[in-house]
Amino acid sequence: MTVEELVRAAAKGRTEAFEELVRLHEKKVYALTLRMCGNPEDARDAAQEAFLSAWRGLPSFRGEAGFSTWLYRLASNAAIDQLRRNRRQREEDSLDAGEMDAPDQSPGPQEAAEGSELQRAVADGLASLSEDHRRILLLREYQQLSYDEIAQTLDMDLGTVKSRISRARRALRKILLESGNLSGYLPSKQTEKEGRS
Amino acid sequence: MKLCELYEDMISAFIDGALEEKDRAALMEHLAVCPDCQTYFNEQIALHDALMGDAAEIQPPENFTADVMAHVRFSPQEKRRKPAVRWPQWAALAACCAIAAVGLWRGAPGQVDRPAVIAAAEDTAAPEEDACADAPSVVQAEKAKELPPVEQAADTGGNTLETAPEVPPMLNSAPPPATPESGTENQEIQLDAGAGAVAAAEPSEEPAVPDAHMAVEDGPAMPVPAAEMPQASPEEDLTAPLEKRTVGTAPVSYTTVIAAGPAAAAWVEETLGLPWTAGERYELSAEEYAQLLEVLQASGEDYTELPGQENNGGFLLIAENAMNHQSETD
Repeated sequence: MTVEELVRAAAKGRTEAFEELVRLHEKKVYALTLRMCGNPEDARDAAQEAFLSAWRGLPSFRGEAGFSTWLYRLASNAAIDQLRRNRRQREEDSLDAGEMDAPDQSPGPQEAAEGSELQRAVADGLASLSEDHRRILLLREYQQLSYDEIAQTLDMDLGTVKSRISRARRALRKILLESGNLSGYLPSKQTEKEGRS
Repeated sequence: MKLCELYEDMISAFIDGALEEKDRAALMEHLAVCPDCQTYFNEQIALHDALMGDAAEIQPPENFTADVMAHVRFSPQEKRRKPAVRWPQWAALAACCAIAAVGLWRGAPGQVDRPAVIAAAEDTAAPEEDACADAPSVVQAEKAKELPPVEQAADTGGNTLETAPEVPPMLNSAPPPATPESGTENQEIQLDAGAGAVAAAEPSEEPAVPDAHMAVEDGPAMPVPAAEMPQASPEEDLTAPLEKRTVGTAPVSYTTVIAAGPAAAAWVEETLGLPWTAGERYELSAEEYAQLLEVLQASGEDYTELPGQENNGGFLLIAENAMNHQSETD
């Protein structure tokens, strides 16, 4: 069945069709929520919430945007909600403890199961980006949405998408430079990877 | 350096395959002569690779799909969209008027003795939400009771409104406005799941009746209080059998299109500014109807056209629910 057919069937209440949609999208949805939320527990909750929202809202889903785009929007919103809940909780906690507000950041170093050092550093760096930058970079790099799809997902115009992605990349680079993960690393990595300088 | 920021933006677009051809040439030229930008370019390419590599390696937790499905199986799908903000006020009047309407438009044209009508309607109106599925039968049952007192109330006199009364799009149980020429066989009541809209009504909302009528002239698919409806021609056959009412049949006096697909829904939301709800009837101007047909034809979606009678009362779009038939039995 095509995704469209699966969506139609699932909108009629066919759970097995929806299960197939979950399987097709779980990896990308989870990758998005994991890098947005910064830890597996929140990521899992947010990803699950995204799929549940999709299930509940499917009968009303008009299909103008593609299903994936719609789903990633739900996932991105679920992740943002989760981050907000965490932030509020931290604020409450630090108020209780009489401290000043802690800056918004993810709990700690990222889990990157395997992969290069740079990959690990990038995952950490993402966590230090602003939510807006993080989200748009994830939609582009992890969900591999086009600029148009991102514009649709985030209700933004194309020009804004372009410039925001560029700024997100600039910010990520800055973080990695400051943490020493980038400068001096690149030329040799390029050499290793491609066999030329 | 400000100039290099421009090139940095181009580099980002280039990585995403979104850089226009003319800019690409300019970028390559610049990279050939600017070591800072070369470095930036290499770094961003490496970051891009790392991001994609990281993405590829992330695996969802074990049993993720099973966990989702466990929740899904206990989670009901939303059967229909929530009503738009403007619903409460005229859904309310629609409810009370729906009950009255049947008797009303069979009565003489002209002013309605509204208090009497509303009083009669109140007795029978105010269905609860759960009862909305029963609304058709409720309304039908009440009709016979309703008719005699309402007829008297309606029979007050000669101020026939010229404009063809329009059917509240959200009010499926209201009959279409009667044009003087149309016979009673045209006045079939739409009593289907859309009567759920009626359920939102509260009898206390009646005073809104006159305003809602005015709105008919201004916008598409605005509800008309049924109390205004008795522009029924004096030639109306008051003894027309109530059994003619059927669920889900478009009144023949309208040119009607029945559609279900996403293009129709999108058009309703964008052009009419109304929520798309299965079972709803949306009243359209001739232009809107023509536009909608174009949209439907271009989309290739299924739709059904029911031509109206010669002197048809207008144009209608009925929103069929092809996605979730369960909602029609609510």
